[in-house]
Amino acid sequence: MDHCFQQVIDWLETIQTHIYERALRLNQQRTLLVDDYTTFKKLISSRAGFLLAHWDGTTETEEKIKAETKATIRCIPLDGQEELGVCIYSGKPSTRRVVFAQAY
Amino acid sequence: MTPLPTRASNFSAWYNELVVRAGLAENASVRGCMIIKPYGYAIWERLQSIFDAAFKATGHVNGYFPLLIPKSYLSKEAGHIEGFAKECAVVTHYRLKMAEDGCSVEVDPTARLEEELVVRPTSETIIWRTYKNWIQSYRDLPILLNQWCNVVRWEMRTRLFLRTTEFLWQEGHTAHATQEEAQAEALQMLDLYERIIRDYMAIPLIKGIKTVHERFAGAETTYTIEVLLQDGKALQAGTAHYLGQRFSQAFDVIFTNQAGLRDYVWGTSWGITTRLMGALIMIHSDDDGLILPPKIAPIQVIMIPIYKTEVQRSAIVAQLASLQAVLTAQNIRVQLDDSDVHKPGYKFAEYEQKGVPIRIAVGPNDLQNKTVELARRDTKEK
Repeated sequence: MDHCFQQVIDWLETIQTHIYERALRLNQQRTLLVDDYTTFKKLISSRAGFLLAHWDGTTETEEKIKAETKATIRCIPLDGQEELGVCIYSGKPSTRRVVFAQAY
Repeated sequence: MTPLPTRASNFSAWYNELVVRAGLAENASVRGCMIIKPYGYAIWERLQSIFDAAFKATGHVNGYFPLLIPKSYLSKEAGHIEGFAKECAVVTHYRLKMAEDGCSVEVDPTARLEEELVVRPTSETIIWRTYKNWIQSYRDLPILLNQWCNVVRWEMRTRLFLRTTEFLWQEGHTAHATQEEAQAEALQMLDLYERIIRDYMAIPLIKGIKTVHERFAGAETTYTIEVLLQDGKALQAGTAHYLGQRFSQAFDVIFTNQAGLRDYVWGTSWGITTRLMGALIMIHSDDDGLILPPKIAPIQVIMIPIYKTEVQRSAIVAQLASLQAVLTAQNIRVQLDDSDVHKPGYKFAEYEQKGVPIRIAVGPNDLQNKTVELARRDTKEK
């Protein structure tokens, strides 16, 4: 019985950590860098997850991508690094990646 | 107990059935509205108490503003009305009368309101209208106010917890003397949300800024927490808005600063909703039902007696009750299900579906050997 008591205490902590780590692993597997629009479309239509891609910063491009793929820009990540690249849609220069996904 | 549809075969049907069968919520007769059942509400109450304690620890206080907002208030901030106009429920009358058929009721056309009222879709307008009366000087600032309430946004495509016409939430509305202080407040609340969603709800997330196109109607900057669900779709799990001086300008909220100059007040607003329940379910659960993080679970340990005779039953229940007392004394949330209505196998499946993290079962042999059977919900390990 004493053993049981300790096991419950331990498990409550283990379970909390385990399900976070499981969800984190899945997130990491499903957070992908994408650099061309063809691949982007393919991944979005198969609901691959968070796609990190370059964007030219215009609402026009954002809306066109949404109309064509149902993907929206979820956010410009706060911990994102500056990185030079070109917008997957317009080819214009970009300084950081943003997070795309289909959303509820 | 019939099994749930599997996630692989139909994720959407799996989710809807799980929500209903785990006793969390069900659809109401008004499309888009939901009934939150006691078990679902118990989870919401856990979340509420954790967030509420964190708000208070950072100096915030709770208040309450009215459900009904004069329609004219919504027109004060141009971006705000543009964002919310399409989904506002409007109250036009205040009385019903008996219809001529004598058995139904109809709206009394003579009881039309002079100014129509909007059911709050969010409360910036009524709160900033009130702040105009509360704030004259820097000595009246900051105001760090939160309210727990319901809001209504008329939605066409709805889904239990994730998108409902009426939902529960908290909305914080703060007023500050400086831009820096307001910006720091918005980020502080974003970090607070991150910490609770990650450490209590066990949900990994991305923190970021919304694009101009996606940001809150009336905000200068919208900070967001984005989470990824098992079907590969994203969900906005919480937002904090830096409002700049937009609402103080719209409602003429002017104060005298420390230098003796008159300026508009700086603002923020921030919220999390019953949507978080949807995230919790869609991120952790499996084909057998819900999986709840122990820190959120209303029941952390379920105890189930296994017996054939009445003598066995009373001995086993007594044994479990004493263990329950020990665990309860350690602030563990334990429930003993000694009801005689269902067989143990049924109960096992039921609490699995409800996502209770740990199950303790005791049968006649265990009683003799002074053992118990422990089982984990997340891995099914015994």
